[in-house]
Amino acid sequence: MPRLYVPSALRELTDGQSDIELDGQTVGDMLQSLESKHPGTASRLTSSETAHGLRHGLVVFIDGEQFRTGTRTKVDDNSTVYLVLAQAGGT
Amino acid sequence: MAVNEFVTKTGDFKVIGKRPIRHDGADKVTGRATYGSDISLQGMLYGRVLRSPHAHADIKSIDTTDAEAYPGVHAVITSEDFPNVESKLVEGGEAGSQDLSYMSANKMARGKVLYHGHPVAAVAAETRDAAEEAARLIKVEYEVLEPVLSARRGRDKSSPLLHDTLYTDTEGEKDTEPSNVAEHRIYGTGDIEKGFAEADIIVENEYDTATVHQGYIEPHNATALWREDGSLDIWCSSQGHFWMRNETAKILQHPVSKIKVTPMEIGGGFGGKTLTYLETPAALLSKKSGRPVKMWMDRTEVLQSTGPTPGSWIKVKVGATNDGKITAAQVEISIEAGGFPGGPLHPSCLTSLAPYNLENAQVDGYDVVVNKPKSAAYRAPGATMSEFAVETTMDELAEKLGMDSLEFHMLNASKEGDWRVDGPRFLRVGNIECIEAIKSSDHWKTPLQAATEPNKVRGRGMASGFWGNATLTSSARGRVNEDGSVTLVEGSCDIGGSRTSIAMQMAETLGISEQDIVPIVGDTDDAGYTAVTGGSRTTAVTGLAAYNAANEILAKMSTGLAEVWEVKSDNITSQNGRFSCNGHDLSFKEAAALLHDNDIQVTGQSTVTPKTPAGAFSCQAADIELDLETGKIEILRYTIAQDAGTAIYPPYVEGQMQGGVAQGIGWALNEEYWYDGEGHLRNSSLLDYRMPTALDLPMIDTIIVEVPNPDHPYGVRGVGEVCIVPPPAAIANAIHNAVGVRMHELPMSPPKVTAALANAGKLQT
Repeated sequence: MPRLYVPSALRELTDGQSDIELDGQTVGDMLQSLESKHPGTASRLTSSETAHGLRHGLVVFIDGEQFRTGTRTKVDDNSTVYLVLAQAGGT
Repeated sequence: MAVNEFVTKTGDFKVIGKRPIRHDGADKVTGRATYGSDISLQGMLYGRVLRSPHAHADIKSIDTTDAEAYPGVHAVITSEDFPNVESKLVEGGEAGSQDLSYMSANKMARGKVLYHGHPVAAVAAETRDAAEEAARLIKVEYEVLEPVLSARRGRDKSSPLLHDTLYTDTEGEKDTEPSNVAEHRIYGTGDIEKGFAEADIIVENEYDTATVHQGYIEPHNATALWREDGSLDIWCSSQGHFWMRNETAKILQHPVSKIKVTPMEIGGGFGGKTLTYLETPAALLSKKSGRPVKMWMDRTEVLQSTGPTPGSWIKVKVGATNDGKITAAQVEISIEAGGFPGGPLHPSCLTSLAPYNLENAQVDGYDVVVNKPKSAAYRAPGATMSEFAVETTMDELAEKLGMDSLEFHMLNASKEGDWRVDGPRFLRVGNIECIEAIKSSDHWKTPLQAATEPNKVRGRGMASGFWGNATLTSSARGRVNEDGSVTLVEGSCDIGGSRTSIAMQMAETLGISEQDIVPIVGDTDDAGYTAVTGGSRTTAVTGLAAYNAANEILAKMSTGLAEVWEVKSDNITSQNGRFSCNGHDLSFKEAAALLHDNDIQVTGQSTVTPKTPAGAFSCQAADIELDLETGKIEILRYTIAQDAGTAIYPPYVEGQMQGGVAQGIGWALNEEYWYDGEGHLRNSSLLDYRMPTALDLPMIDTIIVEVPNPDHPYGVRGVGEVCIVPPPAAIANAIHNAVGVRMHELPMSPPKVTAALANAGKLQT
């Protein structure tokens, strides 16, 4: 079952768990599963205003690879999913 | 070819790693290169901006009557001429996403000014002098408000609000009371309390860093032509013309398809030219006057009104066992975003603890609005200040443990698979290799000689730093010409020599000389979409696009030759710039000519968005001499070791390393925005804003460490930013080594150093 790394700020909503096994074939499925287990969590990570369905600035990291496909990103049983802020830079 | 369909090649290169003549060199040194200020169009007007004399004030009224009547004036605009845009987050810029209404209000103040120099109105006239005189005739009535001039003050709930509708967002949850804190981010791993409980020794400090500017030589400029059919042409100096187009389209609510942005040569940017400033006022003045309008800033405007890197207030607490193992680290970073939200908070947090492998850590970040210009990116935005705080604290911890700082680094160094502040694990990185490079350097192995004058002391310090490097999207297109040259059209503005570094990767792939590649930076109607030249991404990502385009060219040439030679293309061998099959053997040039003669034209193109950013570490050592009477610090010797992955064009890599260190030394020792109590910037010239010159710096020794990026065909990592991260900490640690005084504030200028010396009873008079 894929795992989701829970951002620090949301661990108070997940009984302190820093990563959780969640059902789903996409990141969106996993977040729905997260919401059903820990109400109030998914709304902190998602947005209806973005094309990718995640909060502005968030990108998906799975096994070291970055995906900008947001909630549509496919996962498999071995995936560990991180939702992190995108970063650019100066030079 | 899809991204990542390659095996990373290292060594045995024909082109990569060599030091050829750069493609743009002759034009630059002879003055033939065309910059934004060189643009001249038929009927062109000149624009000037009226800026706020106040740091924080409500605008009660604006009267443009006298300005409009001034001879030679064709148009005057205020925020009333900008479309009303809704308050909504849009992707783009260094902050990742920005509120569109704030983006618009930063171009032209809407109801309120939020920093000294905030644009209030703009004028287009027959001459620049006439525009400036007319701008002075605009009557603006202000109600002056108390300014907020530091992150410390902004965090104070009693500080006056800059925005009545700004509510702190804590990881997706909004506060109900308005605040000057736009955002609170929280990162962590392990059990921080348990970690500190396990520590034998704990060091805790606070730090303040000043606002500093990127110091690019060429001021911002933009020329706009708004035609009757609504099409808009912009020529400007930027780090990313596609970003300029997109931002202009959003602010002006104008279709992207109607806007063409042509990138001019750029005289430096370092992150400061990733946002629009004059593009939208120039466009609206052109629309209103029916004439092309050219605008450029003077140095005072650049310093007052464009985005510097923010000041910060940082707390660090670190604990370790007596054998030197870190048990816990805690960092709190408050960033001065400027008049609008969106400072480099996330990268500041992300990089702060990156050099260390930590089981228990917490980083809190606060994005605080203050009455200073909206901050912009500056080389590894946010990282230099957080690493100054962390690396000086770590040095103090090592000192208290009786350990050599370098050995302390090595003992706790992060590596592949270790935790990163934002959750994911490090990929292959060269942190340890950089520390080892400094350890084995001639600099580190040579004992520091004592000062020869009685009022001077010497010291040595070191520090490490990290920058994540960006990926984003890049495009490249190659066209084979009949003489065997290849025209390369790319979308990356060439700010640091990327034409050559990208051309070299295409040449290596094709098996030809880099001098046979003709690199061109295309405009937004010509080149494929390409994100900003920033995040140290261009040589790696646009280079990958060029590599893919070159492979497509090779495949198409083989197909073409198969048709001419009447063989199967699969049987044609393409290697080292030669095509061979069944006794046929042609060089690339001969093949190009043969294909042209047979009416076979070949192009290759690629657009890529890599999925794996390749972060880079740097470790640096500084020797300083400190004058105990004046507080002046001289840099005696400086060495930088940096992981470049693979150095495509070593002179550029060395230049980036030296340039980053030079800027880091300026940030460490002298540079700061100096505001008076009312929020007026009082040193807005390069005479008073003290950047280092060649006379202030020694030769900066470079050690290129090459730990190839496994997700790039040639192993490239970005090199433009991490070099600026360690200098302030390395110098602060050298000061302590020299005189036993810890510096907690940037810049470490003579007044601050003498104050610290006096406080420690070490100032000589």
